[in-house]
Amino acid sequence: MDPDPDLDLELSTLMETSVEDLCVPVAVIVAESGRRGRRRRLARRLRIAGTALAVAAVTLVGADLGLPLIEAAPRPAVAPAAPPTAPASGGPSDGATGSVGAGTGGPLELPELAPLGRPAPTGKLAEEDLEDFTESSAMKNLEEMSPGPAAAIRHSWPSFAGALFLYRDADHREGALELTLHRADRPFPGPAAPLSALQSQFQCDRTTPVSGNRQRICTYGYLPDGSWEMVEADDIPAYGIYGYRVAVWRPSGLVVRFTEYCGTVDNRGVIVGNGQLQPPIALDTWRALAESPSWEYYRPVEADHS
Amino acid sequence: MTEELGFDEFAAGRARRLFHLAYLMCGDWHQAQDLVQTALSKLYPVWGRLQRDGAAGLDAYARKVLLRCYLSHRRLRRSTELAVDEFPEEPSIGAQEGSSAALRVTLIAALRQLPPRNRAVVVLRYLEDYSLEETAEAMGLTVSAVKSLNSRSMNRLRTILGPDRALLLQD
Repeated sequence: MDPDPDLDLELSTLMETSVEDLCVPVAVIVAESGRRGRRRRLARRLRIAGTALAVAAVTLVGADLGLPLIEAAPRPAVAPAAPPTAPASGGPSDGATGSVGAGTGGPLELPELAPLGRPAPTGKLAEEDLEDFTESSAMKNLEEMSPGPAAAIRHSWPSFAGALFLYRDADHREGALELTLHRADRPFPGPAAPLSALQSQFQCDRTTPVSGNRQRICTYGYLPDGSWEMVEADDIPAYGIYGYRVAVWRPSGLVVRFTEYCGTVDNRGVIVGNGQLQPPIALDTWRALAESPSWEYYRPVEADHS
Repeated sequence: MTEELGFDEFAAGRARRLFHLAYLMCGDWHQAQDLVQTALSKLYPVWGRLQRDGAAGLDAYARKVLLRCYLSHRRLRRSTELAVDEFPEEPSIGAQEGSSAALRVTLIAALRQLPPRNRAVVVLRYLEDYSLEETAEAMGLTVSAVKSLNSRSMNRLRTILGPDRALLLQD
């Protein structure tokens, strides 16, 4: 028998009372959790993603489209197909400044993005840099950051495919480009689908407030071929902050996603090395790559996913 | 809670409670913030799967991750508390801050004298109202081990809080 049951009875009340007026920085916790979470997700994908094929894919598709990897590429000409209508709730999904949202109703093409407040890419990712992204060097990077056998990762193709390659400019500042391909876990929604259905595969992050000279863009809508696209950019001229993301969900079920980070992390999600200040590849180039129909070559077959 | 509940909404809704839990376990405001952020960031990469698996267990899962973060952190060499001859200066408690701040200081000082696992058991049992079975499941221990830890911890707290208990309970 408990010789002194009073403390048992009162401890709950004591604990509740002791913390009831404790100041809790909820907004900071939410923002920081999201930021760390994105880093962890990046590291996690590193562990499961195959590198070489996607790097080759980027290079091949880029070459196929004749895209410049240094200068901002012009948007590809769009055939006036009969696109589906936009969802009624289309538009910017957060309060980001500089947002350009999709309109509502009627044929829709994603509008051009507002110019970001950063100088144009400087051409740091030159041909010699791309030569570093050979299969062996990329897999070496992958193995250094993940103890798992990199060869096993390739077996995940094509139901899931991912890649990330690291780049380094002349000042030895590091960045990371990530590409993932996967088959959506649900059928592509029709043109009248609600926004929430379309956001089931990807949506803009909304964790950080915007202030000062920072710009955030979050825009989404249907492409003329019926694909659903999201473009997100968090742009600030500071190391470790900027980030680009372009994602396209094709009616075939293929989801292509490019993300550019201004730094690299280790397998614990901790930032390592010096982050980039400017991205070497322009956002428009990423958009053109993501929107390219050439990705259909990598469409997984049904049997591989089921 | 619907399946569409976003990570931000979940984090915003649970941060306060998780912070209280972390604070009573570690006794340090900044470390509690770091623990909560770390725990929530571990949910982020698997958020979609967690939601598909069912939102009902998200709270318990978040608490379990937080608990593991706390216990893992305590095992690190750098987290070892430094023994000193004298207590460092504690922040003074103004009269306007009320009795809860005084209670908090007293309670934290008492909990700090318990080993980490004992602290975790006491906080889960008495702040989160976990049963012995739930505490055992969260900590990966047997029920009898939890019972033993709880009993020893309560005896220790009675000794530590002895002179102050009457005053605390009066408040």
